Amino acid sequence: MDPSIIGILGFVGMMVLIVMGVPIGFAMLTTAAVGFFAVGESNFAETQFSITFFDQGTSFVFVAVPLYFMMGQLVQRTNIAFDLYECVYRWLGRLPGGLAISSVVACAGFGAVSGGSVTAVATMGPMCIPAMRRYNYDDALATGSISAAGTLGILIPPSIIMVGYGILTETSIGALFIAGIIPGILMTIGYSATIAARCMINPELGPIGEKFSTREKVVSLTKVLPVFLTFIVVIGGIYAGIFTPTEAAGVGVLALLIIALVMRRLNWTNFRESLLKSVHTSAMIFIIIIGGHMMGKFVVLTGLTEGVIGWITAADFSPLTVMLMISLLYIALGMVLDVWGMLILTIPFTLPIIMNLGYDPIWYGVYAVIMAELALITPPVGINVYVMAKMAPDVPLNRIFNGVAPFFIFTLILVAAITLFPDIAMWLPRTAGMG
Amino acid sequence: METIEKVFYTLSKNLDRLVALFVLPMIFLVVIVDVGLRYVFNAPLIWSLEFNEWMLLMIFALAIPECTRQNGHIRMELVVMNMPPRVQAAFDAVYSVCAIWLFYLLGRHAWEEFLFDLELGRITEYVQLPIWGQQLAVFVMCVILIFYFIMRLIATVLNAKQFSRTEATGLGD
Repeated sequence: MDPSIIGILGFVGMMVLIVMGVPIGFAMLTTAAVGFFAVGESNFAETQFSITFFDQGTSFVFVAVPLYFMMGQLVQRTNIAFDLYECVYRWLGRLPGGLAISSVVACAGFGAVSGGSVTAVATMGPMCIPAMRRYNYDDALATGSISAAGTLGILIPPSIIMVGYGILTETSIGALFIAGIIPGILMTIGYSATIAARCMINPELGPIGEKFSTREKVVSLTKVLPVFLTFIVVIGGIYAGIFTPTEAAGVGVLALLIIALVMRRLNWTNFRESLLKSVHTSAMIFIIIIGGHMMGKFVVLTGLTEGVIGWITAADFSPLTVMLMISLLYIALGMVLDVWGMLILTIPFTLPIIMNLGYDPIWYGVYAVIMAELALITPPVGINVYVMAKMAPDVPLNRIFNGVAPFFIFTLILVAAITLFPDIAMWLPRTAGMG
Repeated sequence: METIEKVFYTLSKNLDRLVALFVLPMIFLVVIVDVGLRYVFNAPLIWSLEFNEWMLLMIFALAIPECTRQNGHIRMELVVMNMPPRVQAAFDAVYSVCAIWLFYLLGRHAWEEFLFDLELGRITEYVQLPIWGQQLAVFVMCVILIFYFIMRLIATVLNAKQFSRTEATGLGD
């Protein structure tokens, strides 16, 4: 049988397994292994699986994954996020929709010292929702803003999704982190502006919060200073070439441990739970990444990507048309798949196409992460919205999805902007000599 | 079945705790000490990379069984949840069969490599950690997982109330 036919059958088979509820990593591994049997020697699948498992399992870069998870867990379990919100609220609470804006900025701050998205929503939700309710904020705005802002955690470095992308595509993780900074800031500003604009048009959506003296504002800064310094050390260290992203993760964990100990917020239970959760989640990521690697090898072996590239070349699609098609594909996949599944599933197919069009893999990493952010808030699966629904059980799910809609639109605008002007993402890594 | 399940539960939980509470902190310490020594004394640990890579595989190999037991892997549940129980059971059986086959392939290769490395006495360059230790860890992981999925398959087919300690953890972040 023609290898490209095997490739297409493999892709269809993988989708069937995923729809049947087989975990995405296992579905990719099974498809690739069956595919290797079909196109190679009898022990080819076994050897490839083993090589991939050991290569990835002993890759020093992968050490970053449990360590960045550990950072997120420590921030979540030691109330550092509460200090962040308190501080931002005192400074921005008087703006139209100030409490919602504070939630967005606090989520961005949370993202700057952790690498996840769902943890951001789970941590910020219980803090921000009661405060917004006290001021009669519109339910859709309150829940929607936190659900959407939680996604900032995977764009603003350090980002675990970017670590996964870097491992899968062998792209510099440090460069990806640095490339995420400007889009992350733009998204934070854009989300805040969206809230402010809506509340200026309709002030009942988000009334202005309480007033704080300058002294109270300045005092609140002292509590977030250690977190800010952690971010500077981790990301500044990567930018300046002092640490590798893996070492920066270790330094970040150390800094947060010291902060938590000094603030007397670290106990054995917190520490133990952080370690256990970090290890479990890392194991899950590992399976899905080796699944992605195996699929990548299978795709190369069948020549499927070359076929698609040949088709695009023959059809004479412009790069922007291809990007539009890929964006639509991501939006569609985001409706039914989780972030990791969506990215790992598509990257082996899309990255060669993107590179053939002349785009930089670092730029594509940022683009893919922003598209992954959309997946977190797209119905019917949008996991952030479901987490938020647990925090605010009295708010119907469709109200939360309605609240998320303006942020979804802004994110699409940002995607268009970085596609038309790739320098938005690439300028900073280039100045650091990484791009 | 309950007794067998208990044995599996205890084994996977203890291996998981071992890597979470001992191996991960070790890796963290070595990374930090290495960075410190490099920048303060200009004397990095030459063995840190080798040590961390060896330990990292232990984390993955020995944590995967517990992650699997806790339904920690990402899956698309949208369609499955809306299916009748019989169809759900059939789909779950497909998952178990796929997993048994995959871990059989990996386990068989790991066992062959383990015997080979043991015979040659292969060790790492600086810390002299046994390379067969990694192969053995992967083999143990595969045995535990094959065993788990066989139990799961039997329970699915017999419609038994199995794996009562299994619970979803929502590890999606």
